[in-house]
Amino acid sequence: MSQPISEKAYDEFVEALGEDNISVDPGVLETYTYMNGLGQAGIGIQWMFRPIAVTLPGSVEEVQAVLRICARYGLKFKAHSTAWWALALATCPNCVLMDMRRMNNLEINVTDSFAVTEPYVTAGETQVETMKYGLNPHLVGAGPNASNLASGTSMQGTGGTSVRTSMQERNLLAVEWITPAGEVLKLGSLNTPNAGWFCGDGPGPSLRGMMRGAAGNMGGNGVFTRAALKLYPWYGPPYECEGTPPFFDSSDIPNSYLRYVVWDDRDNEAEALLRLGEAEILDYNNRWAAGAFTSAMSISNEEYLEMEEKGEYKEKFGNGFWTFFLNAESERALEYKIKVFEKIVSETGGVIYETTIFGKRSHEIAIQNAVKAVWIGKAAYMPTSANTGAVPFSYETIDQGYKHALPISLDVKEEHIARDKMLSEGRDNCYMCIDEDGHYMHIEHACLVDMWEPKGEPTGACIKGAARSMEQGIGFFYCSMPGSPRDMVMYSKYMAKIQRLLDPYSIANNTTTRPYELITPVEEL
Amino acid sequence: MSLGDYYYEMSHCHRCSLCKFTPFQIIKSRRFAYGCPSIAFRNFHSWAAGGRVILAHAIVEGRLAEITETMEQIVFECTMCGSCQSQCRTYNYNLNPIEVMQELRTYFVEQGHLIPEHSMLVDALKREDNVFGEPKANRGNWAQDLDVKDINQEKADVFFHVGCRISYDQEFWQVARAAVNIMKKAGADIGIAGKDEACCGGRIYEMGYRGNFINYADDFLSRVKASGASKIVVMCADCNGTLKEYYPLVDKKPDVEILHISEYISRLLRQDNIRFTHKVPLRITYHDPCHLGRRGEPGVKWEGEYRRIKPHIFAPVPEKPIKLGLNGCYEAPREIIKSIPGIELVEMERNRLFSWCCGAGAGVYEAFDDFASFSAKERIEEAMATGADALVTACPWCERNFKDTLESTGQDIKIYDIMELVSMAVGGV
Repeated sequence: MSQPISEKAYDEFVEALGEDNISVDPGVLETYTYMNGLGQAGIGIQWMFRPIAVTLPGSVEEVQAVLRICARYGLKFKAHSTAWWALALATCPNCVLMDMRRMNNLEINVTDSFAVTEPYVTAGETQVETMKYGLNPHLVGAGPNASNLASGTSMQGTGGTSVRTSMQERNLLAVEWITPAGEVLKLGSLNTPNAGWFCGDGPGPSLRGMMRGAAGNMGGNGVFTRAALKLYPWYGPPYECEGTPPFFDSSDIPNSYLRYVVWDDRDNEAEALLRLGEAEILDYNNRWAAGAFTSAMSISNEEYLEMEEKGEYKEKFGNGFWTFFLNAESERALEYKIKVFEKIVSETGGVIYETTIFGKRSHEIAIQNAVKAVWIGKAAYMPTSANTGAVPFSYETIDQGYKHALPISLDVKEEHIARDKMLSEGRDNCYMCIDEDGHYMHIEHACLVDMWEPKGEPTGACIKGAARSMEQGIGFFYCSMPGSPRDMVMYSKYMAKIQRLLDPYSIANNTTTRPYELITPVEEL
Repeated sequence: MSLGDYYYEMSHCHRCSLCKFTPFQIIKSRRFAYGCPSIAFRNFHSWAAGGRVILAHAIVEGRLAEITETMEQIVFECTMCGSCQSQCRTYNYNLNPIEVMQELRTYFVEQGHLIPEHSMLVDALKREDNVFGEPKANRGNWAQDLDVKDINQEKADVFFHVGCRISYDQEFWQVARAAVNIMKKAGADIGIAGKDEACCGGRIYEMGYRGNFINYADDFLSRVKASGASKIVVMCADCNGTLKEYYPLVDKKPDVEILHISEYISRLLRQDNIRFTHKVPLRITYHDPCHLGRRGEPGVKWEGEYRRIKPHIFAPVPEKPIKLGLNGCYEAPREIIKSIPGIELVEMERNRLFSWCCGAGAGVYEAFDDFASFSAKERIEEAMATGADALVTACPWCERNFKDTLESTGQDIKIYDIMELVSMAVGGV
């Protein structure tokens, strides 16, 4: 339990931020304590540590002030944007949370195709503005409600558009970073007078490899207040949508092609993905199984069960299916892309379906995923509303993904489903996407649980899946490089050392638990 | 239902923050991407629907030793506009934040955690049957010398209810009188309750005073029954939402048709019983009042519980109606506007189901005037961004709040009630 904040510390916060931007009211603090967000089921608890205070810094200076006050009074800190993530809140006592909501400026450099964003600007907001200039940001699979700065600076940031736009961590250009000691670091070109935000590697220090902290990434080394992120071409007018939720009515996108594809044979499927990646024609891709599709298509648990019983989606998509989106600058370019696409799919035995195969709903789900990434999260959560999002989170080559990561997760799921520890939705409910034209594959197997279910035991599945993937050297858990944690011991040790230097007062409440620092004697670090 | 009955909904909130925004599928700019005025004003998550649901959860779980003034502010500094409700359900089918927030208000009132301004309003209402505490005897003054049936004396087909704001705010009298004359001219058999009209009770329901609200609902229904009317036409969007959504929730659904004036006029237009003969050369934008739109959706009382229907799948049994606000009234006012010669309608980015709230509802206008002005200012800025000469609405509370805000901010745009446009279009009455 946190102790109440001292009057002196509180007064200093008020002086630094103004009375409206700090709260120690137990009701306010409670609303920053409950978390049922992405991946929470894998942790197994919803009530996190109640923070000692919640602050709303509105500038670099105010962030520095919060950090310095924390250091003076021995308090921990953690910053979050929209907090759409399991570990966004306090995971230790006496933590001061920084809700970065007041820092929400966005500048777009059209000529050089990048956006300079503050923490609270969501991916969806960035996109609606950049599309006006024929540009598109990367969107993480979590959805448009996630912060682009957060996914770029503190996570890996993968998503269905990653096939073209890479992971968000790779889109980072210059960064403004406040270390736990309260020092402002300007990475890349930002450190050179008048050079601006165009480059993350210089002129100036390139520290992006170390800013994420221990265990590869996910923060703990301070607060990122601004970051420049690369933008990609968007061919055609801004996406338009009208109508009513949940499915809405999207307008057609000129010079684009959107299809579902099914392969019966996994080897052929892997070959097709490799070739599609190499051809550099894809703008969006994701693999779902029938379970996720049923989640997306239904609007109530009753309807979910009806659809499941009917078995229509399982019949077509029982072995999993892919959504592919191609977007081109001209009719001719699109024609070329389609020809290549159809040739590869045909030669690998794939079957192409119109996205209207199951009516308007199935089309809207495809188009809104391809452009806005809005349905991945829904499909991962309905109808239980909780998902471990692991078993394991794998990040591998396409080949390794199919050969090892998918089978491991299927086995773990089967064992847990057999004992009602998670929802039986057909065993295979695996989300996959290929990133960077097929260089990597992200594999994330939805394991649905309801936290009310007496037999529910999601955490065990996570641990089991992680252990088995470690045994086989499979990369997992959003580390910033493909590879097993056992291969990254030295990397993480160095990260922990760096963190000690950056955080001399040890005030960061890491989103991870500083594993190597905890288990390694200080003198060895 | 009690607060504890919403435990499933409280414990399954995803903390996705979508309740703070307009759906990302339809946003057209960053500037107007937010949907919830309350969190936009205070910035702490506590002031979003997601925050309030967690607060309710913490109370039910006994995690809070006492209720503080800040918690009272969190609960009541919200217009109950329902933007969150239209946005939620993205990660769980069964979440209804607006219901949890309503129950939280009722719980606070029952536990004696009252907002002083709300208590004063309730006292005034008990004394004079109107939310301002103005003399009951003056309620019918707006209709003085107006040739219209007194529903207490004569039967009429249309029971015309103007509501508290119009009855006591003289600025609205002219338009209410015009509405009566227009309907009569179109052949309607119309009557009013005059000085015997009483508040519908909607404002105090939203403030959490459910018991008192039921008394007003009973009173209203007995008057409707005695009138023999086949339909109630209301001039105020708040009354519209109360009669359509809230009365059924407490088993007081009127067994006559309920229409907002804009719905009735648009029906008269379709029946060719009214014609717009005069040009109204204005470029206007239309503000959807929450209680005509998403909170004007017919309410359905649900009684049941969340049960396990398959391992890991829970659902409300019996099935619970999905309330997104889709069945609110959005098109009737637009049909009227589009039928008026000379008028150009330009839509704001946040319209219909996703309209930004004016800031007046649920006791905010009475108790949190800085928040009410903030929300109105934001909406006026959105209206001005369309290039419109005028902002048109269909609710006297919205209009009052917009006009008050214009006085303090100096923003420059005309504000009209939709019936003022109708009156101009028929050449004045």
